[in-house]
Amino acid sequence: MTKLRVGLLVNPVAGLGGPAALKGSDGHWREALAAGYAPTAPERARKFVELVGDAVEWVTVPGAMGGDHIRSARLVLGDAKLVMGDTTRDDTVRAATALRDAKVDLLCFLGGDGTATDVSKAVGTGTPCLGVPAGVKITSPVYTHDVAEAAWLVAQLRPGFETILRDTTDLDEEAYRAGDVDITLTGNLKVPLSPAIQDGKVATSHETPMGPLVEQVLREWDTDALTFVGAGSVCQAVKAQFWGKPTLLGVDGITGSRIVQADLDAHRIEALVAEQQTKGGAVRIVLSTIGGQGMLLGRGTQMFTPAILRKVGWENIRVVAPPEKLLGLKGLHIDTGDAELDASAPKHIRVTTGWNETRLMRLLAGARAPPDANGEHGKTAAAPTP
Amino acid sequence: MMTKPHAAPVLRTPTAGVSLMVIPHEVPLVVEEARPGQTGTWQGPADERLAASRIPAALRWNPGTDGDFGLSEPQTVAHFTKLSQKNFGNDTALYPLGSCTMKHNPKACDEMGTLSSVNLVHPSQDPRTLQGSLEIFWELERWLAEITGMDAVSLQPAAGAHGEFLGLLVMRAYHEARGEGHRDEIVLPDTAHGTNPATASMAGYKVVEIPSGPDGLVDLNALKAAVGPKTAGFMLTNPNTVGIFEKNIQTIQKIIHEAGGLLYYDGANLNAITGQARPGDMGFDIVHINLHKTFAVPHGGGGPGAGPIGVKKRLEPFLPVPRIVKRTAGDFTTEGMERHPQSVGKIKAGYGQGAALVRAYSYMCMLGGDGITRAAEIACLNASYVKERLKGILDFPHPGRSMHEFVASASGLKKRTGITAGDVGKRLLDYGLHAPTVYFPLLVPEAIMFEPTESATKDELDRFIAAVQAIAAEDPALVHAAPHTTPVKRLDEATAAKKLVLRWHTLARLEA
Repeated sequence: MTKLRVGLLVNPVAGLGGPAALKGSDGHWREALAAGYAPTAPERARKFVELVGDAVEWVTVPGAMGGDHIRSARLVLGDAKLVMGDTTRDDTVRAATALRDAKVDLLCFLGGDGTATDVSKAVGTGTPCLGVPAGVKITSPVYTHDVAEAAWLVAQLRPGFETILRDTTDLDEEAYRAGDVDITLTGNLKVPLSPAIQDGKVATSHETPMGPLVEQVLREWDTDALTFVGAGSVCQAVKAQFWGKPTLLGVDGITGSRIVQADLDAHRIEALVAEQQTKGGAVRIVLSTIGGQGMLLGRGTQMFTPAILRKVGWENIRVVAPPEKLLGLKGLHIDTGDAELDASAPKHIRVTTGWNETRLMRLLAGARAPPDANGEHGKTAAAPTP
Repeated sequence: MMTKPHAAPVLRTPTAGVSLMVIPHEVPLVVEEARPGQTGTWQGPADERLAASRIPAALRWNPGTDGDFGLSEPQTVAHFTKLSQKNFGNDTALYPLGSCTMKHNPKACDEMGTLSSVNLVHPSQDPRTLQGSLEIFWELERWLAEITGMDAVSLQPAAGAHGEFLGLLVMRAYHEARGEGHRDEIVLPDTAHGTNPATASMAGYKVVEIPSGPDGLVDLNALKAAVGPKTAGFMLTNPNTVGIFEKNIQTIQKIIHEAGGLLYYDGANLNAITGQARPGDMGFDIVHINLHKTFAVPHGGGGPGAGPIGVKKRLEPFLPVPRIVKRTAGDFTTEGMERHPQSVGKIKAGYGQGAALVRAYSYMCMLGGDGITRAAEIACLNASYVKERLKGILDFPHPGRSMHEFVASASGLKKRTGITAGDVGKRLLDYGLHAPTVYFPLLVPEAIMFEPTESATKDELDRFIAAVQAIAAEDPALVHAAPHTTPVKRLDEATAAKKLVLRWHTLARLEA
């Protein structure tokens, strides 16, 4: 049987801005490196390649954008110097073009929205592509929910697989850092037709009455605990109930009735957790989910590193979302980048949806096969074209 | 100034031999028909002196000024007669509103409900003067207990949601009596009727909603994950909201009871199983029965309905008072709080919705046990027939057999033609048929929910099927613009109920 020819393209600095609370990596990843954060995309790339294995014929570019993460692959753009820390968005376009010219059946790229946009510039809607999540925020519906799911999907595909046209989207990171959510359509990509690929973000309507939901959250609030509240409009509505200036797109720490630390990065969260737990105090995390996608952890929440999540424990995570955010979702997805941690998550989690209202949602992680259109796990993949 | 006549409907006869009704055209407003000088019959007394002596001046009719519509009497009668024909009811044509059980209300039962011996008694009369009513109510309680597999029944609630509310009050009283008042969570599947979470909240409970499985049934793993020491109960309909029988009901009842909770049966779908299976035998502890659905009491338009509840023996002490007691044959009395100190008290004045109870009682007398059993069979057969005939036009997201109702999806139709579930519903109005329930349950995209009930004949079902087939083949533009034969077309559904336009003054102001 002919093996699927798969191109691998890694944006090595994707995701760096996440734990550093920089809301993205474009133009800022050096700050994250300087603050002591290590890149996570290379590890994700290695894991992806390992999970897919030799079932496919790999083609990649040299150095940090591919070759460093794979033992045997055909190299294109062989003379390029693609070193960690020196690659640019132009390199992404150049690498994607070379992989397109190498006539890969599927171009798999690791990155976030910026990477998807650059790939779309290079290949247009000609070569089928698949986004493997490694970036900070991923609004583009061309990515799977996590690395394992991407590997699972690639392993299912046969030459001639069915595809669908999807948008690539990006946030204006400068505006986003200033608290303004402005999603722009940046291009199109052809992706495998599969429920493993996430949907686009659905923004919370400005008309959604948040009052009863917030009231319910406050009713169950543990004022003695140190509570970290995540990003987004729903969390913002919760944070606005406390003294202090809340951060729309960052994590704030709350004790008593006051926001004690705002816009926290992973290092500061880790230190605060350690301090609180040393005192024997409780730590809680309040998160919302990305409407339409159902991502709970792994998109814009990288400041909650696997180490922090382990220390806090799944039982101390509260999820808050108005019902409209959950419409049509088969479950909530987690992608912490730590497969063992993801696998340790409970199968269901309670989501506070309103006054006196809770909804139990399935918690879906890469270790489990992705759900099909009916929410069934591990039964369907992209349908091969006869 | 006012509305223009609507374009004539373009209707085709889709199947030979099936005639489609077209609703008559709109009725102009009185102010549009009126002409100065056209007057009706003079209604005042002929004798001015008599009028002066009997009627206060302010209330007297002054010819030429008061009530001068500009319409003659026959015009006035015709106007209101035509207006009354704008109504669509169960007595007009098939009314397949899924989840509502819009079955025929036999006129003989209505007759019984309007007898003076039923209507001219008062619940506060001495029970010795109410023996006939009490006997009917007592027997009705027994029959409902027999049908649902429960031990005791209260007829007090005046509607289904009222019954749910009482059921949860009883549940709460039960837990409190056992020292387990901390149980404050009601678990529901995501397909639950909207009244379930609303009722739970009204009764002071927190609602925990669990996802359904891909087969449309309760997800047992989710249920296990949701229940615990705070669980007061689980509310379920069976067959469930998508019309499928919860085959795992024995496991479900075990999970709930082992967690210390009670199992609540929402009787909305009882019409599928009467005489076939009993909630009590499935392990349910509390059930409410919509007499206005299953037992043919008229409903819609605000009632009055009746939503009695049935409970298992251990919950009987908490039922509301007065309780009806049979002392000997033909000798009935009532008992209050002094004999039932654990009762939740009263939830409605008197014994319940008396006339509605008598209608249901006479319906049960007419059908008998065999008839009630047969009704459920025919209800399921009718729904299955329509479902089979609509395959190929609509999609059916849940595999397996449905019962008295089914949920289809217009997703495929929408993809092929652009015609949505809402369009189908609107266009059916042009065919003289009531729309089915659309966009419910929410978890099925483009949901269309049919419940023809046992009342529909095969000819009526065929006419309905032919109409849906015709709509699917029509010019999508025509269907998008439907209805064409109603006085108003597509209302702004978000504001229509909030900003009612009931008077021509309001309309004139809005159009100005």
